[in-house]
Amino acid sequence: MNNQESTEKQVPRTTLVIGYGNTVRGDDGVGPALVHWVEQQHWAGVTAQTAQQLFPEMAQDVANYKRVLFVDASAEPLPKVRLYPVLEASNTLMAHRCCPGSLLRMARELYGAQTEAHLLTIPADCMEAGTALSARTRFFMEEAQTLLAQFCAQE
Amino acid sequence: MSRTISIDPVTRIEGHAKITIYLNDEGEVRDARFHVTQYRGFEKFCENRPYTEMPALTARTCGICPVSHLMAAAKACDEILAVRIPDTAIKLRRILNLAQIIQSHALSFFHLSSPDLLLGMDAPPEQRNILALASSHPEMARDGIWLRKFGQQIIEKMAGKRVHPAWVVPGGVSSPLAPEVRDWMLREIPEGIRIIRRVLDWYKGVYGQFADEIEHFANFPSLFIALVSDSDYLEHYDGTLRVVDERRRVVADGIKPAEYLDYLAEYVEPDSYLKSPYFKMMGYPEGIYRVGPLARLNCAERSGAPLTSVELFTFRKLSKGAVLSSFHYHYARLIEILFGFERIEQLLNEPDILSPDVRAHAGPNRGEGVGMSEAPRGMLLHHYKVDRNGLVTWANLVIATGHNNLAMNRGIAQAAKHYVKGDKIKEGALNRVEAVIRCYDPCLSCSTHAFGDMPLQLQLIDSKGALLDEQSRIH
Repeated sequence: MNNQESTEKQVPRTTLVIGYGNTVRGDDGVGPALVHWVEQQHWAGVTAQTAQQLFPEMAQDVANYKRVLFVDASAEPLPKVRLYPVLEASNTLMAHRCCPGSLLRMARELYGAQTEAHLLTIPADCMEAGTALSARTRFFMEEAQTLLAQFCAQE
Repeated sequence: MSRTISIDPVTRIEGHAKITIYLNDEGEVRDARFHVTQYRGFEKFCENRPYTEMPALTARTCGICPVSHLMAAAKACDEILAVRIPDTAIKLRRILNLAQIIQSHALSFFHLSSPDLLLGMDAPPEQRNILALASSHPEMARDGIWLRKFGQQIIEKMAGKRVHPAWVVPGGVSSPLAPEVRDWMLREIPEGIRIIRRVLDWYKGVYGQFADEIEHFANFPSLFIALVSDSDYLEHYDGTLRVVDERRRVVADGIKPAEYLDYLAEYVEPDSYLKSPYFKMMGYPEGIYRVGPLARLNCAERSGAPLTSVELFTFRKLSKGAVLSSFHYHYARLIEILFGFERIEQLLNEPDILSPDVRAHAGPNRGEGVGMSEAPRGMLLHHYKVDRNGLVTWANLVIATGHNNLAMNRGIAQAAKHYVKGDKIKEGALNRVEAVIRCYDPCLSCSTHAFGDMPLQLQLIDSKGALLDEQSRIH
């Protein structure tokens, strides 16, 4: 399938979960950790991916799905897990890494996709070198898992 | 009154840097300097580590070109083992290396540099990026995404993951190539070749619009250094070093990796963490040389790949001798992407490519090893010394971007003198000075062997050294 044909023949699948972050920087790895949990649930219609960071080439992956859920650590002092819709990025200032909004925008502009996207953020305490999640982030993972399950169960 | 203009940050490059432009009393550019503000320390903290860890350790130097460090590190370790690795392992390493060159060159051209070419050097910064390109030139953006993604997928399918894979090891690779992965690559390669040929045809039709930039973007005589095979073929994994001058006359040839210190030395710059290698026979700074795609095409005589050979023939028409303008790094990168596809296809069709014999096993048999390969940005060299227990006692990493330091400095000065006019500092002028750096596609994270998001500063300094003005473009 060539590049142009892939634009025309793609049939959006159901749900993509992308957990991104650096797994050797403490709580920054909570996104990939949650994705590994999703993989173990074997939910029908759900594809899970991990990434160190978001890249422009992921726009094609986003375009292949009806719904995408980005999962990331949040360094802001949030008291809880947050799940909220992602809007297309209006600010185009970027280099070679992306935010969810810019991927959403590229998915539409390059592949004609009307993907619905949400972002799930989990409070992060410590992003120092190491692979372990902090106690606080582990505490919030249970709530994040509940929200993930609810999101993936929807159509 | 003299002034100094600094560009901070230098946008759309890997890593962070600063450019300082010095003006004289008449407001004309007197000089310009490129400062790298990152410090890494890999050569020091690798000491006392087992040599077997060096591929994995040094791959962490960079998230864009870790495969390059894997190659050079593994080759240095092969020398310590004193083994000849299986032929299949060599071919598999070559494929992985070429896949990285494809994805890295695609990143450099499509994401970092094509916004200048397509949207204009004078466009506002917020419009000169891949996201804006998606709106204005969606086919070009899709092409860039497809090429980079394919290169990364090869790395992931062969080596286990896209960033910092552990598959390349001392003695070979850790597992053979799966038949389904080979078949997948062979199915997709024709599309990759179609895309890059389309982009090459487009590029050859438009680069003439940048005649002024071609003339003034680091366009000066210098040496060029690259690996070539023993039959003068374009090389990225093995071979020996060749040095050619601005007329493509061979100055030195057949330089083995272990002999590099006989030919190259490094000068420590007082205002940058990036050192300046130079060709010893000509001294510092006259021994200035360039590495990378432009150097590789200037040094090799042939490619061994049919479509690439046609493009190489056309490329050579740019000059009777070596192609000197650093603007043509972009052109050279596109040719190398095409070469990558053709060469990978050739290797995949080798009868032994699925052989299970992919690793030679041994213990340390030598106290020293030098590994050299061509990274996307140029010649990369890892040199280790180990004790009887195989612990690293000393390491020297000579990085591609470092080789180009002198050339980048001279290029910035040349561009600044042409485009920056005293008190009329326009965005397009500053962008052109930055764009000179982007021609080299520097990987500053590698070459300073910093954490964090350091801003790149633009400073204006008078003839007495006082700071007169400062600008920054932090994002």
